[in-house]
Amino acid sequence: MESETIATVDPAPIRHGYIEILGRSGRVRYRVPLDARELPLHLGRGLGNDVILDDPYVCPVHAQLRVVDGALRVEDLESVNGIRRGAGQPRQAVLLLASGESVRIGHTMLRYRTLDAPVAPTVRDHAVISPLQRYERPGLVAGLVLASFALQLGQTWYATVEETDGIKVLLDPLAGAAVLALWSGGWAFVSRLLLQRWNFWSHVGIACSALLGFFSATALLEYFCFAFNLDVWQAELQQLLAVVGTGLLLYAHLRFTSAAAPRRLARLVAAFGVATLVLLTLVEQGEKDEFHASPAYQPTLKAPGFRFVRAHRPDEFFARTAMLTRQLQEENSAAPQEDESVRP
Amino acid sequence: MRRQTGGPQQVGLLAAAIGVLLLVCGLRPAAAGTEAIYARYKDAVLQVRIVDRASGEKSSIGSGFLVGDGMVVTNYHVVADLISKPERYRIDYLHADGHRGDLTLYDIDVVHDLALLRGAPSTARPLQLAATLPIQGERLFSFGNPHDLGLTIVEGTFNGLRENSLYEKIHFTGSINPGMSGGPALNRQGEVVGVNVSTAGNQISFLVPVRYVSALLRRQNSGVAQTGASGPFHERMRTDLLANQARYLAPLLAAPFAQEEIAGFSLPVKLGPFFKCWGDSRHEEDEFYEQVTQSCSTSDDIYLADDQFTGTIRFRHDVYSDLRLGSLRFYGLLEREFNASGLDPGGEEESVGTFACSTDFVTQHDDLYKVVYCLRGYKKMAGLYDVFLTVASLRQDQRGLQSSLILSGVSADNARQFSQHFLEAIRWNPKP
Repeated sequence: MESETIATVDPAPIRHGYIEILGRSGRVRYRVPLDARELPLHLGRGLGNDVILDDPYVCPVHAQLRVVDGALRVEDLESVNGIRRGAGQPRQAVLLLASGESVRIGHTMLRYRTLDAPVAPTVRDHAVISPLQRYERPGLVAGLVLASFALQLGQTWYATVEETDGIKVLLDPLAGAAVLALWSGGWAFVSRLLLQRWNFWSHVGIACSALLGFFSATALLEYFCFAFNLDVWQAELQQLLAVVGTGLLLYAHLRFTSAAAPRRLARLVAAFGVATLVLLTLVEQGEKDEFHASPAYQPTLKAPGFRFVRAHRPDEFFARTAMLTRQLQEENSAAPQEDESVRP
Repeated sequence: MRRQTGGPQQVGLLAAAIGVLLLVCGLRPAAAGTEAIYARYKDAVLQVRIVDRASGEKSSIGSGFLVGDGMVVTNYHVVADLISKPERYRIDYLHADGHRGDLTLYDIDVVHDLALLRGAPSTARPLQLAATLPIQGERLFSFGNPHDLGLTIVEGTFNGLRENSLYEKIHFTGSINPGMSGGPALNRQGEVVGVNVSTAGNQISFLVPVRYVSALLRRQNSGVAQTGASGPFHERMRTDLLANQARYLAPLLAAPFAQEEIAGFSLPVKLGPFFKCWGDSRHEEDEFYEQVTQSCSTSDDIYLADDQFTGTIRFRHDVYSDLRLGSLRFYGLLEREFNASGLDPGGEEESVGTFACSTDFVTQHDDLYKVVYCLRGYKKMAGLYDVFLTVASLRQDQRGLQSSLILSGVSADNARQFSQHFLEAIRWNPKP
């Protein structure tokens, strides 16, 4: 009776772990499995090796790898530059590595990891989360781009009070679009570096939102100051608006650029905003002491229907301006008082 | 037979009479030529030098003349640097014969640009001041040191007092050049009729009438003048400027301002004979808006320093009419124009402070305006201010007015009164 040969399936190969080939920053470039039946592994620059290292400081046949009692045994095969535990360490003929330990071969670091080696905790993906996730919608971004272009075109039209070429009218909006593109491109480049994703159109959408937001807020502020005769505060309020708006803009860009937690980003941006406000306040205080030959006033002028406060008679208005005289007299309090005898 | 008494005796009498006549004519002062005027009075004219103490060299020059008691008359603007920086400058004189000596500042009349110095050489004969003005067309002789070229005499003609000027000046048709400021202008009798003060080029020059020199000397004689450091001179300037602004503003403030019709608005324009006004307009085919401009100013001013003039009134009106801008753009245009008034108050940090402003809505005659009123004080002369007022109409009918006013060197009360008069003279008053 012929006995049948029953094919037997080899049991699953025993895998001891991995050799991790590390890059200059310490990141893993690739992994080589350490399967029992493949051992020993030969490592070198030559193409006949099991592990090929493209490192000019590695010999064609440089070292041999085995697993002995769970440790990785690395044996130098009389190479030129030997094997070491790290740069500057003495060369060794044989190294035994536990899981997580590294060996330097040529200028390349290799790390031994067993299968039960711990891994870093999972990172939550914060880069894209609502409501900013809306900036990933092409329709929204396209709408914002069109609205921004229309806004700049409108601003050019608003400021035009004489005949002009159509091309000249388009020049400013086109320049503005170029600046927006450059700005967004810069942020996209940073996103690519940190998140391996460009997010270019999201950054464009954020920049366009900021432009529209700045314009709307500034216009509202002007009408508000006109309505309530708050011209004297307009510059400070505009400054505050600019700092807050810039902070929101930076926060939105950073959310599409960095994997850091939102709260951390918010704290960072808030600190930047406060520092900017303090700096601007100091600069403004310094400028207040500067001499200006012309009066510094920034009055708003809108259609009369937007006025909410009461208008005064001329005598009422000029009676209230007496405070200016008192203010100037206090500033010049060391000087002698006005000569009474020469009043009309 | 009768003896004849005529013949040789009559001839002799006639000859004697003619001789006496000729003698009398010879004793009357002949019409002095330029050479004689120069020779007779040159010793009374000095070059006045402002000397930098550190280098010991002159930094600016002018002219001056002796009036007795060691006093020298010159212009205020010749010595202004000394008043503002006494630690940096001193004054001395250079005589035509080469003698030098120190001078001290004794008194000033900043309104008429005069100054009185002391320390003149006592050997030279002082000049006499004329009691009356010359007659129109009379020849005058101006002395001075133009461009440091030495003592010079310039002939010219008296053309009366400058018309419609806030500050009285003689119009002299002669070439006064830099360096001659403070020098005397003499009539044929050698009397001072004016003091060289300025030129408009092309033989158009101006003199300070001698009566102001007389007034300054009388004040000096009455013991009012101060001596010593420059501080008291600022007090003198302050009182003189306050008195001056009271003088020329009082008649203006006595009644409402006269108005003229400009593009539908009644506006204050020529407030007095000493205002000069100019107009302009922008109105061409295919324009988006029309603009009518009228600007007025007093035709003269008071020199305080190179960077500061005072005692002037300037204002302008701009009336805009929308043709095809639309309400939104028209108000955008008005707002931009409101922020650029077209009048520059000038001034330097050493002389004036920074403007403080008040803004509000004002209503009058059922019209609404946005008004900005700004004030700044003179640092060394308390009680004197420069005023900047700008008014913008707020209308619904595509018509806009912007008026701006600058007053320089006025009291706070006059600043408010004049500005209020100005504003109250503005009115929308279209023709039916």
